[in-house]
Amino acid sequence: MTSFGVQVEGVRKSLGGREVLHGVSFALESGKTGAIVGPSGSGKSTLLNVISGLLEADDGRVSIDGSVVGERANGVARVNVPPSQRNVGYVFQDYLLFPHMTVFENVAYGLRARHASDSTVRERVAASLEKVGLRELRDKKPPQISGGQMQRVALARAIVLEPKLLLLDEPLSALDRSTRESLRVELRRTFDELATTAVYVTHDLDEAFFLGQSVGILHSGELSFFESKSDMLGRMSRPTAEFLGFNLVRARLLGVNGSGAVLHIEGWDPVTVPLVYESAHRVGQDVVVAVPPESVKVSPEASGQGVRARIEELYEFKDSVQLVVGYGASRLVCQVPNLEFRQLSLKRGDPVKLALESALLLSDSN
Amino acid sequence: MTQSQTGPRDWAAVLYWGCLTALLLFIIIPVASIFFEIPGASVVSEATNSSTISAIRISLVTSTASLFVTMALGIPTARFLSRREIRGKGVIDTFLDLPIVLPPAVAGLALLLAFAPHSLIGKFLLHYGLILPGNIVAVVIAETFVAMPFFVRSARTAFEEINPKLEMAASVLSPSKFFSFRKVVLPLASRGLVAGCILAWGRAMGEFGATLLFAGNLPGITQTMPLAIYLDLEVNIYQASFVSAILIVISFAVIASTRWVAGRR
Repeated sequence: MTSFGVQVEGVRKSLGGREVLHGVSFALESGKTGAIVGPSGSGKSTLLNVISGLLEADDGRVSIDGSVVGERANGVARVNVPPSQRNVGYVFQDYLLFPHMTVFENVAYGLRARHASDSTVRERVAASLEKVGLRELRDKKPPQISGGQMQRVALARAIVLEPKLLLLDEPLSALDRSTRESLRVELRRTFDELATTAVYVTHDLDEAFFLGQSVGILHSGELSFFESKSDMLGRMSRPTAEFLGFNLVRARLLGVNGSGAVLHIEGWDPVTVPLVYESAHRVGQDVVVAVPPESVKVSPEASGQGVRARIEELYEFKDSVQLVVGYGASRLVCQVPNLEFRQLSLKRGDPVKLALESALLLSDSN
Repeated sequence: MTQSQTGPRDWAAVLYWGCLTALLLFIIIPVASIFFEIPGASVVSEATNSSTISAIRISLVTSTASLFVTMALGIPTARFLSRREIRGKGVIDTFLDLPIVLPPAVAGLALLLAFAPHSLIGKFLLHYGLILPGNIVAVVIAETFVAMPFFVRSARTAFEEINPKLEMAASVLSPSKFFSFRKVVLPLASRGLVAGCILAWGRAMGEFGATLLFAGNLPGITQTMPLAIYLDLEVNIYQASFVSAILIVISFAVIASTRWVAGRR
């Protein structure tokens, strides 16, 4: 039987007369990291506050490591364990370090509140600071250290109590890009070392995929799914595909073979897409496929193969170029690595040929 | 060109320095006048005068006791009002601020009518053998009555300025609300609390009207330094000046030391 590090069932929460969470449910296996991604105002922080006990759900149940820590049904609270007794470590978006205490005292705070002996405090704080690589800053106060260092102190303060569940609320969002990228790697390594169940919320899709073993998308208080990354790709739904920025293309299912589903898209050569799960679709049925922008192959009209199209829009980024190409009445978004695009010598308005390298059959395509 | 740009700035600097100097002189000249009034030869005799010593003792004891009462009642009140939205908060605020604007004579009369032996509370106290007017406890009550609002206002602002999310973080880490209050809230509010203490203590030390009406001016029992100065003025201006000078020195020392302590945090 699977043991869940955290389980959230039908959680509803209203703030200021507006329902922020609409019956959110998910379960995360013990020791795994789950990342929930969503835009600002989607209810991410509220969800973590409900799990931690800082907010009480209006309805629903929260269990940590198999024990129910919060339950409310029909307006009646059945269980409501206080935050400090839920055994959670919480890293807040703006760190919330105590500005008048040193780094050491910040990390020691939870232990001292639990009347740990001085020797235990010294040992465990030193070990936590060691884990986040900040031992030498123990006597500094928060205003004297950088944002990245504050984030690591906040993590040390959260893990020093050896929590059963770690909650992280966009801990990297206030940092500059390079610090964010290096800390992302450190966080991943820390999660692997600790093997603690962790729920990480962010608005950054890349961060969610990098840090989470399971990923969920929270939009306007609704969790559209929460599953492992491989399951997510295999059981891609329309809202997920839209959120991930995939192109949605109508097609007809020609057949299923060992490599996946063979599809006919109007104007294209037949495409085979992988099927991780058994498809419920029948041969001959119309379906919708999701095509990642980087799977749309663009080549100059003269040399390429595929369907004829024209570059309608062109946007340059640091690593890649995003093209919006039109064919017939349809449009596709393509992403081409910067260097590759330079070799193609294409510009806005140029005719091109398009081909699909891979695509996913939507589970809810009709 | 340069002159026309720097000209107005120079005028502003002159204005600022002028106002500051005028204000400082406005305080320093009267204060210094008191020190100049004391003849050098009389310092020893005035310092050993038993009524002077007694007035200093009563002032220090009552103002300190009043400060403790003010803090004991004021800190929880200020904390409560800083974080809770309650019905009728505006009315509560008005009542709490009332002693600031109330003339001290009115405050004294109000306390007298409320606590005198014939009043409801007075009768109850009399049952236990306590008559407040003419008692040192009445001095503490009068001083607390007028000083409390200054502390509550300052403390409340200090509590309101603390990021509530810090308290949220503390509540995840600590099972004891009192521990979080002691280790996080109080230290973060300390500057405001110290400022409130200075204001309240200073107001209590200088309290005159309410104490005179409610507690009376009994040497050795309820006579504080301001009351002693008032009485001495009619018979011995030197002694009044001497007591005043002591009051100034004590006030200056307390303000300077508390500012120094607050600045070190």
